[in-house]
Amino acid sequence: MSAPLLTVEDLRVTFKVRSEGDMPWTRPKLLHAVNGVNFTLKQGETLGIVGESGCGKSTLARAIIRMVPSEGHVLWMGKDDILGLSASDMMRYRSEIQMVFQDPLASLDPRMTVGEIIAEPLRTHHPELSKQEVKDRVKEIMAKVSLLPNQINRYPHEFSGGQCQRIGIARALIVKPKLIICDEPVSALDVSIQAQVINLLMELQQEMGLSLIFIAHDLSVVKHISTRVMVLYLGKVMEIAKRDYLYQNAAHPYTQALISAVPIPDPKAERAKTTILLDGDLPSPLAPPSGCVFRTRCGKAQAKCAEQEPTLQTHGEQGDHHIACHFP
Amino acid sequence: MPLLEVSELSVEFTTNDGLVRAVNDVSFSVDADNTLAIVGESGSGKSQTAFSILGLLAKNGKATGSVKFNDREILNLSLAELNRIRAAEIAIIFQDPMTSLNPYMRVSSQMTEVLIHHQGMSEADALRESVAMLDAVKIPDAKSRIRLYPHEFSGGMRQRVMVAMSLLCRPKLLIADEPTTALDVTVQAQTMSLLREIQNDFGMGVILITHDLGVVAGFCQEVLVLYGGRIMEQGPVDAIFEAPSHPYTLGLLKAIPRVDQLNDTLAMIPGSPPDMMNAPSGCPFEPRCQYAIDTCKTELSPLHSFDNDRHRACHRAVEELQ
Amino acid sequence: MMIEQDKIQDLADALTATEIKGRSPWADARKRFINNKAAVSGLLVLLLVAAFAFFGERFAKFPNDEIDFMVIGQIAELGGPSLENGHYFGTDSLGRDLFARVVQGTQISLMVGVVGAAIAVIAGTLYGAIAGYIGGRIDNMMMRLVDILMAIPYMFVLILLLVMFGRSITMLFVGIGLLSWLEMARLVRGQTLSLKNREFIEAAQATGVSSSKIILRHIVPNLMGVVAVYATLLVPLMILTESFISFLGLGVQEPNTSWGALIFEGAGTMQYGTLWQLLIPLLFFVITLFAFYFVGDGLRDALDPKDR
Repeated sequence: MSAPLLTVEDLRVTFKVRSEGDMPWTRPKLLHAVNGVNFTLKQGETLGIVGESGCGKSTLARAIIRMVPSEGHVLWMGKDDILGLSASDMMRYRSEIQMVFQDPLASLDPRMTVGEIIAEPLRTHHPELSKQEVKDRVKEIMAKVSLLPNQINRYPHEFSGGQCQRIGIARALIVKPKLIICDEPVSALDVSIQAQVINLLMELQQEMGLSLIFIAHDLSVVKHISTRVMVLYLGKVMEIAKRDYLYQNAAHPYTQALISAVPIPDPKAERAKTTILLDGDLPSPLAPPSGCVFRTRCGKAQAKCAEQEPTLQTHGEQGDHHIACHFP
Repeated sequence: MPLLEVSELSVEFTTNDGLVRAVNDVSFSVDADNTLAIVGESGSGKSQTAFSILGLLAKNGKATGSVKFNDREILNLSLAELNRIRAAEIAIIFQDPMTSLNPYMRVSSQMTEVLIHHQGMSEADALRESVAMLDAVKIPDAKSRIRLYPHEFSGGMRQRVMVAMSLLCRPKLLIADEPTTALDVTVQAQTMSLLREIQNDFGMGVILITHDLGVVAGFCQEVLVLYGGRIMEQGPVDAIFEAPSHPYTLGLLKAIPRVDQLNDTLAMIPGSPPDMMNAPSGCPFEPRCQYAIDTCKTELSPLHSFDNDRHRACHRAVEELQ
Repeated sequence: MMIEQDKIQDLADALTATEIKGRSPWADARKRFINNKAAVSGLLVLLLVAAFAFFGERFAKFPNDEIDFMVIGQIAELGGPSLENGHYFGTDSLGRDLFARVVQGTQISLMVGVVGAAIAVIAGTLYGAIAGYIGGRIDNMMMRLVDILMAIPYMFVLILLLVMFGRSITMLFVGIGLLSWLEMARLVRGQTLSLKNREFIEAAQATGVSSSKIILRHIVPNLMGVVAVYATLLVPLMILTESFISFLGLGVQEPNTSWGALIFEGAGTMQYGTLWQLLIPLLFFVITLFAFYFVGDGLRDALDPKDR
């Protein structure tokens, strides 16, 4: 078996935060956006990352492509540590790892034509290509994402939300990356359009052998597209398992609450469902609870949970299932 | 007698690029103690329908038709009359509590303002009532928290404050415009559970405007499906979900991934939501409909009733769908 | 296999189909601008004034520094505007043809205005965009420098420069250039700060585009709207500044003249009944300023709406 595409070890992203009213000499508080995350991603796999506000999923994505400073290790194919590379060495990886953003229209420069937008990564990483070659590649990739190639000179505002997201996907694909990180790619789209984009991503993944990291807060969407799913809370991994396994046998109290909270478009199923309601509010990431960060809202919390932080441990025989809980 | 009765409501906007008909001939009614969901995507006109009930349309918008509240015509009332109805009889909560609450005023002042204005209460009485209401929406430590500013509350808490504010005058009808779209899913569950409790306790009618069919399934009794400003179908929630009678509803239900099921590919609805600037003649869903026939392009289907309390607007028969 | 062939044919057709021209945000803005009557009339007036500056000399019957001895001594009676003696705008108090002088004044004033605005645009935009994009300490230092320069009373400096180095057009440009870019730098920096956080900038960074390319390719074009509006409002300011200086008597040297200088002279001879000497340059001055304001307003309305 080949080495996993991505091995993330103890990834931490900490921001210094100053509140208003602080004197210039007071030490800034530390915001632990990502607080020690470990996972691996195999080639051809789709890892779904779910969590609610403040869990750090978007920050995690940006840390992997070094858009925010971070600590820890992100190993590519088990060899190079992406976080330790120089800026020029990093350029090579920037064509291997691409990103698709949440707001389809905002992620496109309104003053550039669609052709120029899609061509940009190609021109950045392959400046040796001629104008015509670039144009041909752009048209090819537009056809691949079901956009009409003759629209190449149009501007983003002339397209619908779903089409703009396809443009973003085309832009990510043109340099033939191995990994695409999708940060909430369908959250801003209408429901009837979400299915189009999800199906497109799945088709492209099959065809081009892509690996995907799919970040979303919508568990139903994540369930559909992922092979494995990871649940984050306040910057820490709560649970990670193979997709089917997680949804049917979630063992972490947070995951269980999360799954039960997702509304099902079926009145009978909704009535039959017992929703686990969490107590209290999300703690501030500036002052995460000691021990297990979830303990303040957990129905099963006991004294041990406040004293000792649970580590990610294998749970059960099947499903590649790991969980960070003292009492799963 | 229904609490709210809307007949042939149409909303038009005059813009620089022409006339836009956002809502076209929409009729429905809401009984006290009942919940109606108005479901649709972009361009469906669901929000504008709700806004026109309370006279909240933008200046360039015009509403025609009839809106009767407790048998009294309230569409296009004078501002003074409308202000008496707003908050006191019909309350509305919006999607983003951060922009609906004044960031420069303490929550206490914003809440007492409602009571002082509408019910002529004294400052002290209004404050007591407001704290009681915050308790009712389960805001911990309401007495001291009420003095905070909106930005000092979390998103879910702010939405509860909005709910509390809307209930202060014990309105008979609550309109909730995408109240949980901006919230996390666990907070959404908490908020919807709260709304259910509140509705039972206060005996209100609720109009829930949303695009999330899951939320509709868990909360509402009646559903109105809008597309391109027109009614596609209407009926009790169980019937609509189990046996959708319109290609749009059918397509939508098939295209949504479900957390309790696994399908290999999601059925998609091709195309995109309509551009209301260039409204099509005939059925607005026709360009995307797999059951469309020639008549659909040119002629609108009238709303047929069937099965007792259901309505649909489609040229094809129910049996032909599936 | 038939199906495959069709698909490939479709693809080939799609790839070679003629490309549709897009409707750029600029085209939208242009359309909106054209629909704004005040703005278009302002533009027309500016074009006419510019034409006057370029071609006016050909129509002048007299050069601008020649004293007409026919009218000297009797300016009030014989020096008025007339078509017969060729002094279309009349003469000034020394008997020089006012038409020719106004032509020259227009040339100088417009040049000062446009050059000053151009310096502001180029220097201010680059400075502000770089400061805003880099952020942090460097941004802080760059902006503090701007603050310091702004705090110096520029009129004072300008007058000092003019007194020290003598009155010349070059000095005038230097002085006005020194002043004009500061406000623009601040404005551009503010815009850059808000642009920096937009997702398409993030997308470019994620792709690995270098900072300089991001600034030139993404940030500057998206600033152009604001910059264009401000630049058209800056030109009148420059003209006003120059006029004020000339009015004080410190501007351009004789025989060169500007609107300000002409107005100064005209105001001085008002009591002799030679009102045309004041009113005509004043008219040019006022309508040009108004025209710039209308155009600036029109630009702002045209560029403002959804394109942000």
